[in-house]
Amino acid sequence: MAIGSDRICSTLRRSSMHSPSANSTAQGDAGRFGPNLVEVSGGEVIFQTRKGIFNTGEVHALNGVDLVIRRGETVALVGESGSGKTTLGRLTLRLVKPTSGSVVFDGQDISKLAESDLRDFRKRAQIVFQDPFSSLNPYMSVRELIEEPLVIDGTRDQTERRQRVDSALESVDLIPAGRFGTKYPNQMSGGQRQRVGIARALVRNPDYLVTDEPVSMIDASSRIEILGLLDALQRERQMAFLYITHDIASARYFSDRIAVMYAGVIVEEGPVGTVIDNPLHPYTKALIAAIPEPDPRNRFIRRQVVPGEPGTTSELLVGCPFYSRCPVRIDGLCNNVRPLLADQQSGHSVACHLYDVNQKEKLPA
Amino acid sequence: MALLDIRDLYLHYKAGDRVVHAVDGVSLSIQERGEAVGIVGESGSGKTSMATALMRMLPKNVARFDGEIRLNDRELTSLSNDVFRREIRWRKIAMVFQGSMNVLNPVYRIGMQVSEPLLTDGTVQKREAIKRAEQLLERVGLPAGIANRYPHELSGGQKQRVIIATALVMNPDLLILDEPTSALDVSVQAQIMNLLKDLKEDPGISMIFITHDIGLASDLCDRIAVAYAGQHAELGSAERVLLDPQHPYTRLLLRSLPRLYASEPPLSMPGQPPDLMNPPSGCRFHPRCPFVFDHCRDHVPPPFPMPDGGHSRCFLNDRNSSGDRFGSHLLHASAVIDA
Repeated sequence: MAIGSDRICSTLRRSSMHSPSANSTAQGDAGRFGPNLVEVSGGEVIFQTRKGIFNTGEVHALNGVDLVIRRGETVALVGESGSGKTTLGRLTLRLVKPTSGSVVFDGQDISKLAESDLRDFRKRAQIVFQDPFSSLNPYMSVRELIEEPLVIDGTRDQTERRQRVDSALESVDLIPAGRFGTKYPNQMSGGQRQRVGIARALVRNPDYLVTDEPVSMIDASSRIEILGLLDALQRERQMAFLYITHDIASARYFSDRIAVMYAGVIVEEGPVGTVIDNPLHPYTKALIAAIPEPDPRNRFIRRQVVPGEPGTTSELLVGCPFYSRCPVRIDGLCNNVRPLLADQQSGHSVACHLYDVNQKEKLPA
Repeated sequence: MALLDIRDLYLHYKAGDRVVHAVDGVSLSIQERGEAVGIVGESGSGKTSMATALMRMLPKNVARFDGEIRLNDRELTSLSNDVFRREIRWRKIAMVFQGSMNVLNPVYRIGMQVSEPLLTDGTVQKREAIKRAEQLLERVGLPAGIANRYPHELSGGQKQRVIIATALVMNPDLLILDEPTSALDVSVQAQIMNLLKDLKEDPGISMIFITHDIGLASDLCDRIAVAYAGQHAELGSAERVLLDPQHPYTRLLLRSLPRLYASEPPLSMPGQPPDLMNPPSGCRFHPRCPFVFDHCRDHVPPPFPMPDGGHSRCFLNDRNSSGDRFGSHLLHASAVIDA
């Protein structure tokens, strides 16, 4: 409990934007954040699907996405299933290759490198998976699980490996390390297993960490603890951190910036508090309005909902991806001209023609 | 007369040579038509087990099943399986199971699947049954013509509407919904919740809504039960449980939720979820409770009544005891939680 509350206090500091975190190594104009570590430009991913024996189809998972994550910064990627948030996370790790566009990591375009040239990148960028029940080999002890990346990296010195595993276990509060190291995954709770997943990612001291729905499979009462742990580790190590989630409320407390995805496109992006308090894109507004906060008055109201459901796009995107469901669409414009992300004020940007001052000029004749 | 009255329900399972206390002395009633009661709890708190007990769809390894379940003043636990199947299940009590939108049969048209219970019943002609199915499908907000489609042509939200229509086809008095939106995205979830609100008003179906999300429960439920380790730690009106929670578990649960607009960050809940094979002695929550005192470790708190007709299973709420025995603890507890 004590550990948990300390970390939660540090979260509170984050929400006040003026005080830089204590151990910040921030440099340059970015304030408490470092230089850009991950830069996706025009990221497009098209998957081929099979339809029957001869026909193939296409799924446009990402339709031209730009995303920057700075050192020491946590970016939350939110959206509904099928919106492309997992694909974007995997793209930044080169677990999928872009169909077009580039992914630059620390100044190097990793999207075009051969797998054999990615060894250094693979050490520096890590992922924590959603499901702590299927992502850990049940036949390996916790120590073996965490040690494995070091063995692969060629750390020969057994003492060094032991020390690094111990310190990784301690950093995720699996203490004493000696006792937890000999356990097997099935002897642990979901929350403890997810800590093993985190320790495994951290043992290589990565600069960049992706977590894809890290707490959605964990008991509700353990979620805040795991998120608080990830948040504290991110600050201590000044990692760039991509937090993929469908839980917007949690993003508010555990990230600096938020990017909202819809149908393979980032439709809105900005400082997390600004976006939640003052959403601009009609989709973001609808998404936030659909979240039930515990309030006994809820049952007497009907939620404003946008009709329909998000689908996957199988064609090149013309116009706005939200056009068919949008309650405030501009016919003629929104279905023909794709709105691009444009900065509205102090880093809060939106891809919507409603906020475009030159809206009329873009209307096709 | 209450529509549903559950008294001291127990459901234990055998697991090897041990016993899982899934439902351990639960009492719950639904007074009026069109009332929705939410059961909120973590996985393993016994919420789904209580529902399967009401439907009498029990697994083979039941070690103990007793208590009283009265529906419209008829005692159900003493009915034979045959009578229960012919007169109660689906006819009086229907259920939407978690993930049931994935069990629609892919080779039958939607209309057939919705009308199947009527056809099995044998009292109506096929044409009439299909017509009733079409009416229901329209009632749950699906477009005309959907009865002739196959499940793979439907989206997730549409399939869930079909499942709800299927549960309603026999005109049940009580509808149990077990995490009906857990596989859906939040915008589609809101659509389904709006539908449930409509059905609650017209035709006035009473509901038991099972969820792990207390926010979602507040979107539908008039009363809320907070399940913990097979018992209802707290029960009361939505207003009372959400705005004036008494049991420390409820209070910590509410404090652990990230809120969209709160100025306070969420607090983590201490400790580990309970082991139902070996539930803690005394109060089930005592190993995680920040306000635990000696009495809690070896005494089981009974449901102390609350003014709103609900209860709290916490000694801090024992207002009738001699001279407010634990008054000083209560003050201390409030100070700590509110701090």
